[in-house]
Amino acid sequence: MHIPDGFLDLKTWAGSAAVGAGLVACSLTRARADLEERRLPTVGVMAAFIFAAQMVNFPVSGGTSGHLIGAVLAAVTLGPWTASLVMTTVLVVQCLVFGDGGVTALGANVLNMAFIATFAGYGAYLALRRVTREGLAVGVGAWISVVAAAAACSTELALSGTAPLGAVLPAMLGWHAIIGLGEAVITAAVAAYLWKVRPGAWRPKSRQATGSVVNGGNTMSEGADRIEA
Amino acid sequence: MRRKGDLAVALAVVAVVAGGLSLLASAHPDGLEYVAAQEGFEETARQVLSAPVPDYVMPGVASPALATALSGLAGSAVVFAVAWGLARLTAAGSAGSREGRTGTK
Repeated sequence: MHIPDGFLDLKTWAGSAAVGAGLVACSLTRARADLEERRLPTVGVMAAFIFAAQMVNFPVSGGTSGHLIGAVLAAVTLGPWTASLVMTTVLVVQCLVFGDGGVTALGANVLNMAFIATFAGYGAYLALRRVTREGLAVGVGAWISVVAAAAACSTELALSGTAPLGAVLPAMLGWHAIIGLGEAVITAAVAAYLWKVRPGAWRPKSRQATGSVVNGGNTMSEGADRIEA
Repeated sequence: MRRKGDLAVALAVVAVVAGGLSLLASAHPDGLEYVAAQEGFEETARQVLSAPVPDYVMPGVASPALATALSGLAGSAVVFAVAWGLARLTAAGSAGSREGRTGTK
């Protein structure tokens, strides 16, 4: 879903770049609370894994392909703020080194895949984990992250006058609803594995998710955090 | 020790995905490319800045498979280094507040 140069007009790419830059600045401040010295290499590994996984396009019906975005995978294992920085790093390297995504569209791509995907998907995950299993909540959150990013991308294309929203939005949502299934399966599988082998890894805190209500899973993960610390 | 082992395993997994699975990637257009072709705005795509490793093919490498694998491995290494560095810089700004938090535990 990396937008190339030429698809967005000046007002849209410049506006997206300004919003994206502001959000990155915000993330740099907010991520501090989630970053701890001994977990810093993990941030690099997750970024490298997402970069590598994004190279592996899987075929989708009708001669189309898709690949992992990885925003929700990063969010549920590193926290959403650190995840947005990880996604931004991946997108910047893809753009500047590999020409994947245009330089002028970088702000829009960061906005869509580092922020909208991360926070829409992670927000859905937080809401769903109160009512269903972790694995299902992660999978549905991952699916929503792809569909939300596709909707944002469609909106930017329409604002640019590149394509009418009525045509591009249903087409983008249709394909990405299918591509999102791959995102859901990969994200749920990798997150479940990481949580199993590393029970003390970053987990959302109960106050973020459920206010004063503490469920079993949170108590466990916080206990694990404390033992490790 | 366990952490160092974990890190080595994780980096090995990244290397297998970037340098191996990447060769199996589908060459079909992705969702956006497909929609752009369908809606007739594919031709408006341009490239403002030329990239050193265009399209994940390492220049100067004769074998296409090797060129893709090398670009995947090089890209993963760059992303790993940049993300780790960025995390260190971000965390460094909070050294004081982190001690404060630990103290209350």
